Amino acid sequence: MRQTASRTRNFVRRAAVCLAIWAAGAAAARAQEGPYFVTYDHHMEEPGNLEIELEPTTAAPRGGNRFLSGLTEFEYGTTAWWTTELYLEGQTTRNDSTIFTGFRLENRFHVLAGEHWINPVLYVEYEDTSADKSLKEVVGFDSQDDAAQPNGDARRDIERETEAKLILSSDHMGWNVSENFIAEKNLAHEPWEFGYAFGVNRPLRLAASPLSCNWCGENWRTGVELYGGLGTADRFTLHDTSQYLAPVVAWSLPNGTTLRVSPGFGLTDNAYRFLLRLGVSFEFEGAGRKIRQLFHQEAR
Amino acid sequence: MTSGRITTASMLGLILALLAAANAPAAKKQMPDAVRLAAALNKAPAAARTAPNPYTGQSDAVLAGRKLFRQHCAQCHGEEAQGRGKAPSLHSAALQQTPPGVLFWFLRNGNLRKGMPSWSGLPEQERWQLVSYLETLP
Repeated sequence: MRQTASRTRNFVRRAAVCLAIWAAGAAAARAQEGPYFVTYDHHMEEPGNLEIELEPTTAAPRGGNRFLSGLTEFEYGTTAWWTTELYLEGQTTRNDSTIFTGFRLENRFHVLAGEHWINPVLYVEYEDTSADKSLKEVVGFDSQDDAAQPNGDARRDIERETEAKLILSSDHMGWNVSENFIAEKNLAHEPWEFGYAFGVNRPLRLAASPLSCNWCGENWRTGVELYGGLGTADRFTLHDTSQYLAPVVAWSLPNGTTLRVSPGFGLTDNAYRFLLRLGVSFEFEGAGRKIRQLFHQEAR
Repeated sequence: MTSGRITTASMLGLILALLAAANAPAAKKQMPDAVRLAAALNKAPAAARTAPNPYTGQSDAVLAGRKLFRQHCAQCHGEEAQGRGKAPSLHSAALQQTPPGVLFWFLRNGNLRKGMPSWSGLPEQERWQLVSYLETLP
């Protein structure tokens, strides 16, 4: 038993060292990174690229303690038409505790070949979370009161859910307009919950500067998101749901880093009055190829 | 609890299997780069063949296009567009004879099933700048 544990520790250590060496030597790429936090557009991760993103969100529920949730996202371009993502989630609540809240696995499939006036993308997700406060999407009758529960109690309620989204997205004259329709099902015999997200954004400058620059307008995208719940299969309505309006800004640096910020404003009583989302992502080009090379070298 | 674990394990297994399948080397013999590229470009509609590049003759557009190429395209096609792995070399006679509008159309649509992403997320102006750079490749 001890031997197995020691072998596992060694493997993890070696894997971590390999990953660190690879990450240090990995070249950065710049993706078509949008500014949205909740809405998805039809742009997939470039094939073979890995994007790692940290996405903290903070808000204070009515009558509860302020929290800071943290999402770590690993997004990989499996093919040009298929992107897969793993999220690891946690949160810390003031005067309470800091906990790991679970994971989610998602896959997005670009349905049609080529670019169209409206581009549909299918999204399928499985999540296994408890006491989750990441607000990655808002569905059903999600309310700020859900987050007022102490972590100890909330952790007992493990949510295993599947989620599907229909993503419709268009690019025109530099603008991106995206609409998402969300259907989520808790596997523990609860009704389907529905939600939506709508986003629009545009770069500050449409043509690139001939010089390499950090501050030029082409590196900035600004826009706005509108998202919220649409009730359940038993009660499809906007009443008693949470609705948010959130301006979004993204700044993509030539070295592959993208910084994003979005202050969100609750439009209904059940929504947080204010929430702040931040995002820092880094794109590793050809990550799949480099990982295969690592294992290939080790096998020799 | 056990059924939840089984569901999680099945989901993970299914996704790993699909990932492995997607990354497996193609069994079919690959066509030569130039033939593949020409075949993809031939799918462009007639309207694309006559669309002019608004940046023709502008050296700044070529420089901007070169910068965009290094940021977005070099990871697959190589820093000097020499080609790498499945991504073909862009130093080809076929490419040089291709009308700018067709290159622009191809950047917008990509060839998703063959691994070329769509670059519709870049504004039109940037895609024309990329075309300006591609036209200068020997």
